[in-house]
Amino acid sequence: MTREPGSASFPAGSGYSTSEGPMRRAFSSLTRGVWVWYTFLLPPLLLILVFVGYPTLLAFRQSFYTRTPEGQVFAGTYHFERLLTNSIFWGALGNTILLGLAFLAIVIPLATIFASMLNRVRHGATPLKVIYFLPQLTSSVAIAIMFHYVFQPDWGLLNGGLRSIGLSEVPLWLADPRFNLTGSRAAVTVLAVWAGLGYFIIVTLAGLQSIPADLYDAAAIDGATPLQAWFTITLPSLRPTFIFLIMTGTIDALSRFGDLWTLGGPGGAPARSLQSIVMYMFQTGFESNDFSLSAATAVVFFLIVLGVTIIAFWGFLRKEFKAMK
Amino acid sequence: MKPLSRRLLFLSTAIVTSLFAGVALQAQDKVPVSVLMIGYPDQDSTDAVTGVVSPGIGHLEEAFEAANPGIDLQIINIPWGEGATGYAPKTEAMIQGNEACLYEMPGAAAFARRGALVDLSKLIEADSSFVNLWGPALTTLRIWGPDNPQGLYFIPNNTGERVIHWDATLFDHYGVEPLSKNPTLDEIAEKAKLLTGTDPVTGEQTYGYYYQGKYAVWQFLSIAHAMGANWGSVGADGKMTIEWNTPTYLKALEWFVDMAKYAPEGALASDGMPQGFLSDDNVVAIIPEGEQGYFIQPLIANPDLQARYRSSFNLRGPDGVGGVSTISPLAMAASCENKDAAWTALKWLAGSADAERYYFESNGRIPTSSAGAEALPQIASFPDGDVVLTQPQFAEAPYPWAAAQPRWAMQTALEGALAGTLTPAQALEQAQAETDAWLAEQQ
Repeated sequence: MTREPGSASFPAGSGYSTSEGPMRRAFSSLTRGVWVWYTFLLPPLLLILVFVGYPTLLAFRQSFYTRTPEGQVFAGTYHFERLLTNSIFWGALGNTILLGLAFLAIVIPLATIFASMLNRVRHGATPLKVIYFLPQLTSSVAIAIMFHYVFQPDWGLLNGGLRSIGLSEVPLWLADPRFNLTGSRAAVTVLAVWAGLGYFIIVTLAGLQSIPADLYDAAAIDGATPLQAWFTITLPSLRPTFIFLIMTGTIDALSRFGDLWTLGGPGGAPARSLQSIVMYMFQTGFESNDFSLSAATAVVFFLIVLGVTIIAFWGFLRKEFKAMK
Repeated sequence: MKPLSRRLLFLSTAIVTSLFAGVALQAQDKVPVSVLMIGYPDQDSTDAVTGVVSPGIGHLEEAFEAANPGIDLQIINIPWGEGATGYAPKTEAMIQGNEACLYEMPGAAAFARRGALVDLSKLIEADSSFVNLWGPALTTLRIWGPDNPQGLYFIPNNTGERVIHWDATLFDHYGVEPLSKNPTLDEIAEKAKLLTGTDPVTGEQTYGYYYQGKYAVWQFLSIAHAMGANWGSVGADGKMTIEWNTPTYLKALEWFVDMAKYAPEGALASDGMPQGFLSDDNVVAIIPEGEQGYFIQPLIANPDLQARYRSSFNLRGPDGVGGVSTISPLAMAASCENKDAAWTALKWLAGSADAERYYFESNGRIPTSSAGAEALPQIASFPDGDVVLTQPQFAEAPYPWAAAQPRWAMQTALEGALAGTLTPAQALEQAQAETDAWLAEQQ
């Protein structure tokens, strides 16, 4: 077997060692076995570059151009100026934030309570977990259609129930665009909580089960009641779980589309009360054929999500990462 | 090779050659006319639930060639599709490649402005045998083209339909005179008010009026047109002017908001006909601008329903037409080489009873020509068969912005007005501002 000078597999003191020898050996030991993993990772990376990276770059480019019959014309920041002075955009953004906040404010406390109770269940916890998780596996469109039957003001399940117990003045739900607790926004928040609760419960439950039992034993010895233990041990220990849920929940809430589209149509009916920023982006691009404005919306949306992620990381997770180091 | 085999080989070769020669000669005698059709079944197909057979596009071709033996009709049938694979880019490619003479062409107005279509009014003038089977539609559908500012660049070959539905049983329970065939806004308002309340026979709450909340824009435009409103126009350069914020539209919106009080409270959230429609449980008396797809097949299948669920002509404006148009335009490419044969084919495809029957049986589309009664006797025999079959001829011209921002601007503003979050004046102001912003961006 012929060996090349400088090969990492040359024995020390063979006379072929150079000043590069130790470095090459170090490099070789670092990369040995690694290339095979890069090879496996390459196909999905290529797919992401082709189907996510490239379209993203195109969207960025399109936001600075205008389509004309003569071709693309550079427009600078014109479409961003149009967007930021557009009341429909701000309305959609406000809706998205409001619906997201309402969802998280309800689902996280509910999930914590349900997960804490499930954590105490001795028998039948698994079937219960499956039942709570089932809506998560259902298509958002199917859920929206189902809730349309629930919240339909005239013949829907909910108002039918309210009438059957003697109420004559029933809420209008999906026919009411006002900011109130019985309008369209409230209805879609209930829908989102119903659909997402199972996932939040499962993640919170995992967080609960990672809390060392010793802490509870020590608290019990110190005479803490179960409620005191829950407030002083359980909730603080769930901080990383809550941060994870808030971050992922925020990004999901910002990109909400399928259920709102199914219930509210392209315009987020009634009166744009259900129009999210992604729906606005879709409507602008594919209903009104204003692709530059739609691309500008996508860029702003990207920056918002990026900003939320950075703020969440620096604000909440830095402590956890430092602790890990 | 043995002599017998050789003779057999010679004989079969001769037969095959003469067959091919015959077919080629026959095809040579015929004038080819290619036509792009959209969304018809390629083959016969049977509905798995109802067992109804939808005939494939080949039946249309056969019927045409039987009626027009001198023309070889070559149908190119494509699906509607979406986006890059939709009918629009395919139509554009075919126009640019001169690949067909006739086109079912939803975006015909834009092609006409580019000079890509033949002005059919000139063919009509030159055709002494031409009979107008499409009524006022041939006037309503005239649009601007480079060779004629009032040109006729397409003829509708089939359509969806909007009529005014009314429930004769509810009228009877309340003792209200049946709705007339051509009702006015005043008649609708008066009767809707009388029909809202507790049904004297069933004791159920009933509603005199109804609108489909998510498509309220179409009913509103129909009301406004009946009051004489005009949304605007498309100029010679293709630029649109749209005027929503006018006294007539304001009057129409105030009327609409007032009438919404006689509709079910949840109508604003609806995207279809009311619950119970076409059943014994219906509680809605009058539905202006109601969709046809909901009633034709059930009425054919159940003749008892025909006496209860009646149809009147849509609201008409001072110009004698009214109601949203959902036509399928059939146009002729300017590049067509066999224009005479193509004109014959166009007239047949848009007007003959055979063609109209095919469109209904394959896709449920309603006839646009006066051959409808002959094509579909099962509809002609409805108590209001004449309304159903002739309303398409009286529809308004298609709105060129029907799938663009002005529609959504008006729809959203209407929702605000109907929900009470905007006054009618504020709603029109909002719709105008959003429409103006969109118009300013159009090239």
